[in-house]
Amino acid sequence: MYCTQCGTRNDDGAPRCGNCGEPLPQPAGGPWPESIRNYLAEAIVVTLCCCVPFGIPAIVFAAQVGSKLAAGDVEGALVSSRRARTWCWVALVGGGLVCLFYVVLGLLGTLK
Amino acid sequence: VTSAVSPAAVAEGRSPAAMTEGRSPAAPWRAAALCSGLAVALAVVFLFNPATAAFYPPCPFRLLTGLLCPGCGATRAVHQLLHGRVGAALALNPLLPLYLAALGWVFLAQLRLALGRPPLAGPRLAAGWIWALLALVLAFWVVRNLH
Repeated sequence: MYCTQCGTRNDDGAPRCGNCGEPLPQPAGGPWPESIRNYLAEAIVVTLCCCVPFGIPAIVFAAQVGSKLAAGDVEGALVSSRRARTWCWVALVGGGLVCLFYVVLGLLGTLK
Repeated sequence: VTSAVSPAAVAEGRSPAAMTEGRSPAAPWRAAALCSGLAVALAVVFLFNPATAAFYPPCPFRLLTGLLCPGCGATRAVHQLLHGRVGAALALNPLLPLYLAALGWVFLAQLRLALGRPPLAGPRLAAGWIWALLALVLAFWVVRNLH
């Protein structure tokens, strides 16, 4: 949706314009629960390629997003969505750190 | 659709759309970087067999524990797949189709964001299917380390 004040394009459902702060008209019926991301694909990728122990909670929270939405718990689904995203990042950074550690060890080994 | 968002969230000026990471303006360079990154990655995996080349990053889990993780062998499997050897690919990692589907989804979702389109909410599998998927991955993890 476009801001009526400055013409900046904003997210659908955004409360105010990201550029000038002008309040934006809200869609009827409030924000859409179906726009809540479950990060399932991201969770599977980080589980298989980065870090299994930290990827598993991400998959669990991805499952919770769907079951909470099905139960009508939009607030709870949002919380699960954010947790799924957090665990995806933890797994990605965790896996990356171990790889970095390995590369540094390898470099030290060649220097010796 | 009825909204069950707390008045507190609304008062703070947050909307679920905003909290679920809203759309960003189109960034053509980002889309180009994504596509060329994928092309380079596929070319590298096609040209250099991860089974013999030394420069691929190791699996962190295998590095730390010496055990296989559910994703181990996937890069080698993609190499086999790119050379048309489906059987060899599945032998290296039978979960490869799941892995490729998830990777493909993440790629398309990122491409959409880069093009300024609204984010994909995710593959909306029913919770039961996601639990089954998790059970499959965990079972495979255990079984492949047994022998």
